[in-house]
Amino acid sequence: MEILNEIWSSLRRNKLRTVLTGFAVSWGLFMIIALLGAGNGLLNAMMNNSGDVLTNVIVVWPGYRSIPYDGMKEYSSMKLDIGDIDYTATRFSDVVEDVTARIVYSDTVSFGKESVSVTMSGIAPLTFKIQGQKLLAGRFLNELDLKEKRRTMVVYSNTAESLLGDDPEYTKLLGKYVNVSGHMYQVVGIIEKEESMGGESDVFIPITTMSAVRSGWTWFSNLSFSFHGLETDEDNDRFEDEYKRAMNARHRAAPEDKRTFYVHNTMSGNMQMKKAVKIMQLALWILGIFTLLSGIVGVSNIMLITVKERIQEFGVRKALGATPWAIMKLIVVESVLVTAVFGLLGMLMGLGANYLMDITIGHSPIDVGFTQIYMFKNPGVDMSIAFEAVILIAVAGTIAGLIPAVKASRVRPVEALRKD
Amino acid sequence: MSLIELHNVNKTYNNGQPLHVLKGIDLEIGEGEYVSIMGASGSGKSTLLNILGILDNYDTGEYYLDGKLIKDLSETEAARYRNRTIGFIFQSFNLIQFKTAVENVELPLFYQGVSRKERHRKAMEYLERLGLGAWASHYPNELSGGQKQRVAIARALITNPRIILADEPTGALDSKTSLEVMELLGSLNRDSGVTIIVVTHESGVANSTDKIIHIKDGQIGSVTVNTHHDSSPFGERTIMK
Repeated sequence: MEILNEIWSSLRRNKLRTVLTGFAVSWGLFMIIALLGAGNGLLNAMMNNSGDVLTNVIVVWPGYRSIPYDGMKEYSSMKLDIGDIDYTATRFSDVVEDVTARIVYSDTVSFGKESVSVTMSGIAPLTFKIQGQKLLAGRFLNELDLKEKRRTMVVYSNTAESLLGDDPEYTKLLGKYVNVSGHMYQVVGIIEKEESMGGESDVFIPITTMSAVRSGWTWFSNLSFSFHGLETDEDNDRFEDEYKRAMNARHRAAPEDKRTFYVHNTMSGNMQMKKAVKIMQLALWILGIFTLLSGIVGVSNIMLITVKERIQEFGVRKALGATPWAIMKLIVVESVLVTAVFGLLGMLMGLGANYLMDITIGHSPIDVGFTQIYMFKNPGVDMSIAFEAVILIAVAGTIAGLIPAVKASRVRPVEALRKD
Repeated sequence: MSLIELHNVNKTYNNGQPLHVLKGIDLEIGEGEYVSIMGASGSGKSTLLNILGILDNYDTGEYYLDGKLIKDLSETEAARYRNRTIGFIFQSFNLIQFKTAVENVELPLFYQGVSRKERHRKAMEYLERLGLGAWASHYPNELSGGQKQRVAIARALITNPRIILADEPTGALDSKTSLEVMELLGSLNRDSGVTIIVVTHESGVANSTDKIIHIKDGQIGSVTVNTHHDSSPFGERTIMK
């Protein structure tokens, strides 16, 4: 308590010095917390967005046999059938999550007097995710549509415009019922037309609905599934190979035949994403450490000067009976107090800055169609990291004060007193 | 044995060229004496005082303080002697600028571990005695030179030391104030019997003391007994400035 009084009177009478030391500490901590917080916000947003968009997905298309096998000729086409969905889901249940497939055929959609010939696509909701289409109005097909085999439909905007008699107000079709070969479907969503697509436009209905409506339709154009647990390129290659062999066995093809099925794996892209995240994290840490270092240098510098400036005072104190230990205690407790108090202040300001980021850009999502993405999500740092930074800077400030403190405590009072 | 005894004390400074400052000092100062050490600048008088105050060490010889050999003391031991046995008065006062007069006076007691309240009471008592009660809560930069030196004297007295060492106590003061300070020291010596050693280059200041030790080129020249205070060419109760 006594020593706190000593320190308080010294700090109070040396406001500029105190404020400068405090500023160096506060600024260092403010910078590191604000920086790490902002970086984390970006990273969180990145991870969050990629979680929405980039599920690990494998798409499988049928190819042809490049090796004659089991009575099947070379170049004979492979076919995917409805059984492959269950087979994929059960045979590889350890990695496969959701399986979806796409069945297509041509038909005509009519609404009022207008009719358009289209490619009917029976799909599962996962397909939208994989293809990353942009929703303009309404909603995508969902699991409920699939489960209840609902007569729901998602169409491209240009198809909607054609059905409305070239009315550009495509949203008018939303919720309306259209006719496909005598079956009525409700339009629940409109997606953006991709410029590059020519020919017939797709319209999307639940794959279960399509199977029910067109019983007997057993084969389809592709199958896709999401998966997990394959971390490396090697794991993925091995899995793909294993999958093809299993499918070959099921479809009367040579086990080693590589042309029977085409496989597209989004994993490699995701892995690059992960690598980018890692690099960014590393960059953040390096920046953080350097910021902290500059704070430490600032504190150390001021501590050194402070002790030097007070050497005569310490000389007087020693002449009056201060032991070296008393002098050292005075310096060390003062530097610990100053760095800790101003460090905490800087930390609070940094957290405040993070909070500001959160309530401003953290809550303004960017619409990218089927989902909204955030440039910023939950900026902020782990409280334990924040406190560790405060402790680190306090320790550094103390060590920086300690070196001249030891010197000051050892110096003969006559030498200290001589420096007027 | 006298309170202070020095036998053949030598001190050399080694700043580039070795400088032999004290060349075999033999000195004895008894309890209750009022002594001045007089000499020109560079004569080694301040070095001698610093050694007496254990602010500095010496190379060879012996220094007995109250019968105890003061040699190669640890800083902690030295701090104890400075704190309890010796009181210092400096030319430039050496008050701590960010402390009030009373806080400055309290400081030696702080290092004795005396409670805050007791410290304050005692410091006020000493300030009152020196006529500075009204200035207790003023900072040094709000005080005149004479007031500052009286605060420093109060600070030196508060631990009730055996010896007071004053290094050019009037060096920064005008002649009138100088005289007051010297009279104050004299009355302290008479009233409480504290041993006072004053270092000075002014013969008038030295004349206020009862014994004058002349030092020249690091050696004791002569010791003049001056109980009648008539060794100054300017007579009694004068201080040459």
